[in-house]
Amino acid sequence: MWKYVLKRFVQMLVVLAIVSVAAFFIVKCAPGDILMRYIRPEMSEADIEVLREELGLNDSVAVQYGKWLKNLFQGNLGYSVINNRSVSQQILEKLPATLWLMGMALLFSLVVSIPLGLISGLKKDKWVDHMIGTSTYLGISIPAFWLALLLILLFSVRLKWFPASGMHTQGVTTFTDLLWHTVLPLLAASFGNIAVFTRYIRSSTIAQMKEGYVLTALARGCTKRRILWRHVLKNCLLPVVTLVGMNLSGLVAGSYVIEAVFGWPGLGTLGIQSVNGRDYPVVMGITMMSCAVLVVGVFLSDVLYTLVDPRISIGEKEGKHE
Amino acid sequence: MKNAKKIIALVMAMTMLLALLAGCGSNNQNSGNTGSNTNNTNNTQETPDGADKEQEPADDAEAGGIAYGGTFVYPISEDVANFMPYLATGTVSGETVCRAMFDPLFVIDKDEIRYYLAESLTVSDDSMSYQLKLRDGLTWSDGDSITVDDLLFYLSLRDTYSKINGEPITFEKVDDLTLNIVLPVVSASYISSFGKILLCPSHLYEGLDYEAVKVSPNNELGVGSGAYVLEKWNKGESIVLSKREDYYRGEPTFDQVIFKVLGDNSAQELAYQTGDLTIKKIANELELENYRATEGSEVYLFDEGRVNFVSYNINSDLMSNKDARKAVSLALNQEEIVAGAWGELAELANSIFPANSTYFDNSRQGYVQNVEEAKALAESSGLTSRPIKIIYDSTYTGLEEAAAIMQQQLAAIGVTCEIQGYDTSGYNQIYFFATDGDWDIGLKNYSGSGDNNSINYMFKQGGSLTKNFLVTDEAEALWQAGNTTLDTAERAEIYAKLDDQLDEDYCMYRLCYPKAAIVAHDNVEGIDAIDLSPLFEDWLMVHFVNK
Repeated sequence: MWKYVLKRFVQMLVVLAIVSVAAFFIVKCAPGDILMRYIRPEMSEADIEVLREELGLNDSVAVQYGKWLKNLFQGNLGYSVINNRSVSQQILEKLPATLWLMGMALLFSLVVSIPLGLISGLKKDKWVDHMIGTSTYLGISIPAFWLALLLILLFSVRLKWFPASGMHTQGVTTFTDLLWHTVLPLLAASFGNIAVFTRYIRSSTIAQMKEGYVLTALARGCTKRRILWRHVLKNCLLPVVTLVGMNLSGLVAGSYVIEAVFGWPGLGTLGIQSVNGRDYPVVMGITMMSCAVLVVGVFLSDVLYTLVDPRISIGEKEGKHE
Repeated sequence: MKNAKKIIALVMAMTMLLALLAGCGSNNQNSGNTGSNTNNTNNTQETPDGADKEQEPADDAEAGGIAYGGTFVYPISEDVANFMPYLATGTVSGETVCRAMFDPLFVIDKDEIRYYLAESLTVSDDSMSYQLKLRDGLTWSDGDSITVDDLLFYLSLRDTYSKINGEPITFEKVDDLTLNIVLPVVSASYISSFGKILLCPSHLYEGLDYEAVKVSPNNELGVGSGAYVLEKWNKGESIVLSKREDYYRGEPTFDQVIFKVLGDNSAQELAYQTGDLTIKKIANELELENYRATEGSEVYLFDEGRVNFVSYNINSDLMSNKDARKAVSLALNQEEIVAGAWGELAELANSIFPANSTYFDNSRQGYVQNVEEAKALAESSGLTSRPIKIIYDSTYTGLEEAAAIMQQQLAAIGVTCEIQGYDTSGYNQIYFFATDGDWDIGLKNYSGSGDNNSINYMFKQGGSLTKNFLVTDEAEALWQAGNTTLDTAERAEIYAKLDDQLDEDYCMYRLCYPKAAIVAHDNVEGIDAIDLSPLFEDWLMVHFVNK
């Protein structure tokens, strides 16, 4: 087990290193940099050159990456070139908003998709299954951006049930107000996930319903409902464990689109601003944090998988999966 | 089973259709009225010449009367970096917010001077010496006095206003309110730019050098000189300003001004329709038409003080040839491009100077389309030998469409074009600094701040931003002459000659003066009282009205 953990840890480091290099160089390849933000029309060539030197833009990309990496090993994600504030501090400021929204969206997705997937699998080829299936196709196909705008149009503009943007009403700090503001972005953020999770659970349910233990339980007189919720459900959730692990990075990276449309003050909004402003330290900070959470999430889901399913083992034991 | 599937599919299709139709239908808008009726009977407002004037008390019972109070909400596309004017005004958002929190010294607008923090400006006979006097008794929002030291602090941050053509300007503090300025050379445009400085509170940065100022936490305090003070900064979400009770020019008209961070234009539009926003900028002609037909909203059109133009890359192997540039200039149909790309949101430009320039004359004739001559020149200059690359800044409305129309017009003379768009950051780097001749034609715009010479940075020979732009010796001489001449008639003549010279040089093709369009709920007035640049020079002019 420990050998496996060590091996995965090294793999994670390798992945993080590759992602950091790729992300840094891709961002640097995009035309434009932070220089224009600081240039005043009256500046001379010499002034601009001094500015370029101060911003570190004269260094080669490799040298810039090296400096960034050195800071990272010292626990320093650097400073924003736009507002000179610590990248870590800005990320920590925005993280709660994103964690709240995406966490609630993930939870909501699970709460909705599990019963839908089970019912759809149980009622395979019935009209219920077709309705749910069609809805999931819609969920996978509809762009989150479009859905978000539709929700605002319907529920904010027409019905006036929910606010169109923001996380709070000005001057109000109640939990109820926060929930009220969360509804629409939560629906927009979770719609796609619900569709994907439902389909996975449906497939898993169908496969499990064909297993011998289900037939045995039926022969012993158990109701289908009891079999479904007491026996099949546990086995159906196995792929969900993996999906949740892979979606963990979304908890911190957020959804750039959803946050932009709803004016949600999270990491997504910060990310967009940073990309547009070529604020490399912030872009790298968010990217590396998302990547770290993703690889850790996948690792944890692998470990959790073995706990949930005793047939799966890791390490040196006999097993079908490592 | 088949029938069931068909029914389900039909239901889903109807649902989608209904959802689409939810976006159409009634144009009735909700009023964004968040104004409250407040009866103020003792308002004092200073006129530009410094005299106090009692404002008529508002009669709130009457329809159309000023309704003091309420909350004015405006969207900004990104959050600000901080509230230190020198650092924050590099972006539109930063400048917009700072305009509400900080006042300039004065604004010279053609023949008028509007004073704000300054009380007077005295000019010597040779126009090389100025004496600036600040108003007495002014304070920052934290209570400290506003003095000449704050101005000197600003000037010390960088050389921006401290030199002309590399030669230092002399500043002499006479007393806490008086500063003498001596220019090394005559500059007709200097003082106009100088007046627009937004002073920074020097007492917050005592003993700090520029590097320390950049990272000072005091940059977020929002200590200002304007009508509104920082109440709360919800980072990434909104900036809440409240009215300054002791504002020297009188009581601000709103209780609160909120800048809401909404990067997406569609989201802004929906927020406006729900009444979350008081006003918003109109993005395109379709929106303009929609809002004009909308009850409860008023549309205002402003000249942006910008010029959209076509620039020829002098470092390109093709565009370095004058005949090639002439071929392009004669092939284009300006009216068709402007009508197609901007419609009502722009006016044809025949001068390089923005419409807000002191010496502005758009009556002159620009290039006249001549397709036959253009075709011949295109052949002889080699313009048809390879596809030419047109680049544009995709952030600005209309440039992409203009590039597409140009592509069609140039195809008529046998010239093939490739079009490439970039965001502002990428575009500026390529347009200003890439000298490899990789692009041939660039669509660009620039803005002016009143004086004709204020746009010189786009046309300066050997300038830091004109590496790819042709500026002939004749043109440069005219620029110099225009800025060193004080006689108004002479300046007007020089700038007219400059337009002619640039035409002769075929270094650019003027397109249009874009207009900023604003839509506001009809309970807001004063938006058109003063020019929008970028948002309200004078916040006292804007207010809610009773409806």
